Amino acid sequence: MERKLKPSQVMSNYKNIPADPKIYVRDSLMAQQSEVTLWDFLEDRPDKDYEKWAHDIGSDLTTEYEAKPLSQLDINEQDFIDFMRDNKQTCQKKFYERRPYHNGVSELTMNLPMKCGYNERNTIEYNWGLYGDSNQKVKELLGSRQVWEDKIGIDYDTALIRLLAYLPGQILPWHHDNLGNWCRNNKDLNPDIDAQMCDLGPIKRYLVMITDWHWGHVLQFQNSYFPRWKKGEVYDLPIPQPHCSANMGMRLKLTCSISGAATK
Amino acid sequence: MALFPKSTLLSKKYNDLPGDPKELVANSVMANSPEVTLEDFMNNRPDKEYETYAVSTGADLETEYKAKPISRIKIIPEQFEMFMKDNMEHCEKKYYEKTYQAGVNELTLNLPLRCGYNHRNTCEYNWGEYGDTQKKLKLLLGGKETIEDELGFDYDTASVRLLAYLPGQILPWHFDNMGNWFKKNQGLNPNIDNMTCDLGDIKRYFIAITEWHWGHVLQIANSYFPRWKSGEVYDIPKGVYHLSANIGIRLKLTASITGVVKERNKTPPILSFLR
Repeated sequence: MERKLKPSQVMSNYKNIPADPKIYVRDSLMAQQSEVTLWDFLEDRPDKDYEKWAHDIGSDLTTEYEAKPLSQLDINEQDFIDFMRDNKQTCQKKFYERRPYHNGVSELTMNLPMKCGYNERNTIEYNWGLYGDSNQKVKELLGSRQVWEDKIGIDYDTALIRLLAYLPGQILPWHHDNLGNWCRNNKDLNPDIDAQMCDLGPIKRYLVMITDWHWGHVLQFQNSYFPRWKKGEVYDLPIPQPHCSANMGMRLKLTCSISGAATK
Repeated sequence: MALFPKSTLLSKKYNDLPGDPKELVANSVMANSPEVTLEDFMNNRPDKEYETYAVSTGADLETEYKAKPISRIKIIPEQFEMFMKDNMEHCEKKYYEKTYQAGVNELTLNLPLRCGYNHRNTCEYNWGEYGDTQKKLKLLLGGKETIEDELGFDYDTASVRLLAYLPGQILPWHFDNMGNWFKKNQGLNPNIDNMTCDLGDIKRYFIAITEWHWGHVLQIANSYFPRWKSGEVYDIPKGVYHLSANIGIRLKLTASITGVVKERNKTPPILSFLR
């Protein structure tokens, strides 16, 4: 499939994040939207625009991705649960819609998921890493500098973490990662998201599993499903390949993404 | 953990369906329930009870299921879309909550709702229960020639459902207890523990109406279904836990057939091929 939209066009230059993390829910457009019914969908066919955009960013129905863990971290799931309880004030709770800092030609700036039926009760994400000292705290929960150097291989000081909590029934729809927040925060490293390079080396997105896989925890990458993961496993999520994930099970799904420059 | 025989959990017959399918949404408890937040979830741990129930009724984290199509029938997806548009008044729109179910199951125990499932992530549109949609759907699937001669179901007692899932909608972890079929066919002495009745084995088949597309997920036991083609027919193994969802972009349309498969009904594959 020919890619018509480069990652830099999808992401463009992210603006600064709002100071108050509560703004995402309080000012949500999605939360005000009425339901997209089956009759609306059949009449309007909003999937056509979303699918066209997906093809434009390189999605197809044939590419496979065989995910294998790069390494294994020794993590304690309860530490992360305790962290979430103790850091409510730095949590970004949001729905899958355009956020104030988004630019570019993305599924969110064009409002495609919402038109297809995604809403404020099926795309709720709780995350930490953007606000307060949560980035540093989660980094430390993942391991010492030595662990980062030996087992993660992403530059510790510039890494941007997201601890992601998905309740049962919550979905992260079809998208690709463009690392817009990391690129904005690290302009001095001259990041080129199209070439996936910066002055320190290749730009990467890794995913660390915080909880063991359980029924209904799904990550579809390209046209393949991730294997049933174990907590502590570290996976590469190659940029800019399309994927989606969801918790359609019963246990909480906790993962942690790491954006940054590869050091090995 | 000791497994409960399904007959002890599901001994009560399902209640009758409401006369008007709109009552299911109008009277929904789920639609009036507040959001389950992360804090609620961490404090109350509703997953523990759902998981205990699932394990006690046969779910585990090891069993695999390798799904392979058992047949492929001729389907024209556009005909089903036309059928949906023409039969809006007979559509059963519902959420994943207790309605006419009875006995002990995840719905009567209200487990999905307590874990965070709600009316905006479990919305199902289906046909087959109201009006003349059962008859029409059987014909759309190919009539007696397909349902009885090719797939082996007793045509008269077979029950078809057409299921439409919009992007963002989930059918959570459950096993099929075929309560509606059991209620309608009490005269055949159905046995839920071994899934047989006087006519033979009780089966549920899954028929893909639309082609698989990104985010169309069906997990059976601990395995994902392959990327299906329109018209493929799969066996849903009896009593095995599964879930499905549309976390993609396109509409997901599937059908199920529940009924008695009589070996003598099946056309040998070579004859089916020649036909």
